[in-house]
Amino acid sequence: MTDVLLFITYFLVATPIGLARRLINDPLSRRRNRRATTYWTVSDRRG
Amino acid sequence: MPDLVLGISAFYHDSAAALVRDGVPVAAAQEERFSRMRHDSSFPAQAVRYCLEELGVSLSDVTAVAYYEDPRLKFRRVLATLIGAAPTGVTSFRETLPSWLRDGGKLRAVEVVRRELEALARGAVPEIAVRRHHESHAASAFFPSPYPSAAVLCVDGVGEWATTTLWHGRGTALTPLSEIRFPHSLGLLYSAFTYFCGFKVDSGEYKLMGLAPYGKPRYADLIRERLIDVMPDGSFHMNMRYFEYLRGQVMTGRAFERLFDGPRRPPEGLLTEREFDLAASVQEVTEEVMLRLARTAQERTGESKLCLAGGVALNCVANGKIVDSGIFDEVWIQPAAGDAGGALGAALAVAMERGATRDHVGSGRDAMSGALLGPAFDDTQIAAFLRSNEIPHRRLEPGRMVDDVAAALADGKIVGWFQDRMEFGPRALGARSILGDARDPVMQSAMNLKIKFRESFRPFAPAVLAADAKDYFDLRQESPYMLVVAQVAAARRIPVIETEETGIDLLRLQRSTIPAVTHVDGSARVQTVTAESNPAYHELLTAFKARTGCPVLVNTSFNVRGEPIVNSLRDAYTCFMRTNIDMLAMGSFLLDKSEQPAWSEESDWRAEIPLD
Repeated sequence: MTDVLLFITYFLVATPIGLARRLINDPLSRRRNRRATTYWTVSDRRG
Repeated sequence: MPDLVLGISAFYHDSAAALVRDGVPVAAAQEERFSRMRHDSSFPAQAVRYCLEELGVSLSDVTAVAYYEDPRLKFRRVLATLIGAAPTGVTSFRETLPSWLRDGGKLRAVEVVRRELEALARGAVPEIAVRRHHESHAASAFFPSPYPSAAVLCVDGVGEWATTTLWHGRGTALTPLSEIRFPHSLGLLYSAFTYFCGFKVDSGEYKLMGLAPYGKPRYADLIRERLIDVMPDGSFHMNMRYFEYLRGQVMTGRAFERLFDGPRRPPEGLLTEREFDLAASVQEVTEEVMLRLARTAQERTGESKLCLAGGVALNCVANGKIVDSGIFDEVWIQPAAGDAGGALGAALAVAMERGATRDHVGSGRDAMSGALLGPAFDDTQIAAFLRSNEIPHRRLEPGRMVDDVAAALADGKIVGWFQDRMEFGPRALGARSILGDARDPVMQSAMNLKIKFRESFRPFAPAVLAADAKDYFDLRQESPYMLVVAQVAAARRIPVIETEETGIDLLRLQRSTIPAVTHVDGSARVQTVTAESNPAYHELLTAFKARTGCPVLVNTSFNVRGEPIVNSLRDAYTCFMRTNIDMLAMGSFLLDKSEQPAWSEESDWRAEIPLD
């Protein structure tokens, strides 16, 4: 029984987080790029 | 056939409506002035109705509606934030998502705008265009400015993704150059300190700015080391470990408390030296970033003029530093630099695309009509109001009225001044103002306690005849919208011997011949007044100068603390009667407090108006 529960939890919890990680790719740029000389990004469109 | 575009901002802070005719702003107002709810974020139905009525048109006459930000793009950022914060952000997730996804929620903002406009039953609703948040700011900063071309810098909390944007404005076009994205935001940095010092986010930032001159920037290095990494070009990266706004509904958490010597100051709690110093520190860092951003703007565009908008452009101390630096010959700041101005900007952006021209360029004037874009009341309406409410008053000839008010002011009286069209933007500019003698050493504390019923550390601001401004202030250019701070001129300063005064007691020391408007560091947030921008106000200042030799008056907004600036005649009379204002000048009518019947209200209005 415990094994099944663990399996389900793993499936239901880890997978979404994993998916989320793949979706994210640090779009909030929380990690600082220590080699950067600027934090400006080029505007893709109007604002 | 005039081309009318209606701009709308709504659902976050400072809902507003603005009407642009052939590229020229002709009517604009914030909803809060009508609903009497400060920073009202609901759909600006009354403001829209006002704009249409001002021009005598219906929605069928309007060619396009422009909404000031992109809800779908914003939602993607909100979602990315919530997912990125998992699993710790689950409460925020649960609280935030429904407000977006429900029927009529924030994701469907454009649908809601359409529905609300239809509900006004003022004609057929035209197509609704969407303009991005920072584009709306940039348009509000550049298109009404007097310049044929300019660098444009918009700095705020956050729009959809962008928090800081740089543009090149030329003719009727705006070219985006670069941006900094959420969560890295100068506005949110300032808001974090606002929150930590016990003030309300989005409305308390200017209080923090007013507190800064009392402190020493002893935390500035810590801020630069741990909170925000600033590049020489002004771009920056924030260390999100210290901020809570990605995870939760507050700005700062325990890491911030550990860094800054203890828990946040509770709202309305005692102000200590730590808060003064935190304010001074974040202000110093903000100014440094703004100056570097300005320099980058100049280098990237090669322009000699700068246009500013976005909430951080309301930091008039930083604006003053930019002006003083000489990086640009001249700086123009949109009076409605916050989100209310987004309504105007979105409308202007659409108007320019539809072929409007900027005819005012080359005249040296801007296209904001002195920011007097709201409702006015003529003498017939005022007379009717006074008569039907049996309010004692005197009707005077225009010249006589100005003289009587000038005499009263010179006599130390406090006068409510209600003239012309209401201002658009957060500042009162001599249309809905409370005025006093700037030379009076007790005026500052009198106005604070008897009119505004507010904390006494906050200074008042001067209005001065534009032609005489340089005699009183070290100002390199005009400041028509009270968005630039300058030092009081040396000739007016009085040397002060500071003994043991600290904190708020510093305010009582007289530092100049215009003490009511001089801050503890000798600075003032100046409004320069020309006859063209506001004729009645200019006449009053001229009459006051003729009488006293001084062309400077205290100008504070006509409202009690916590309520929006007065809009209607009733709002004005109510504020007049609730406070210790001595006289009220409305149109050609003068009301004397001593002649008024006793004022009573059913409930305690002071308990009803939420503290700001």
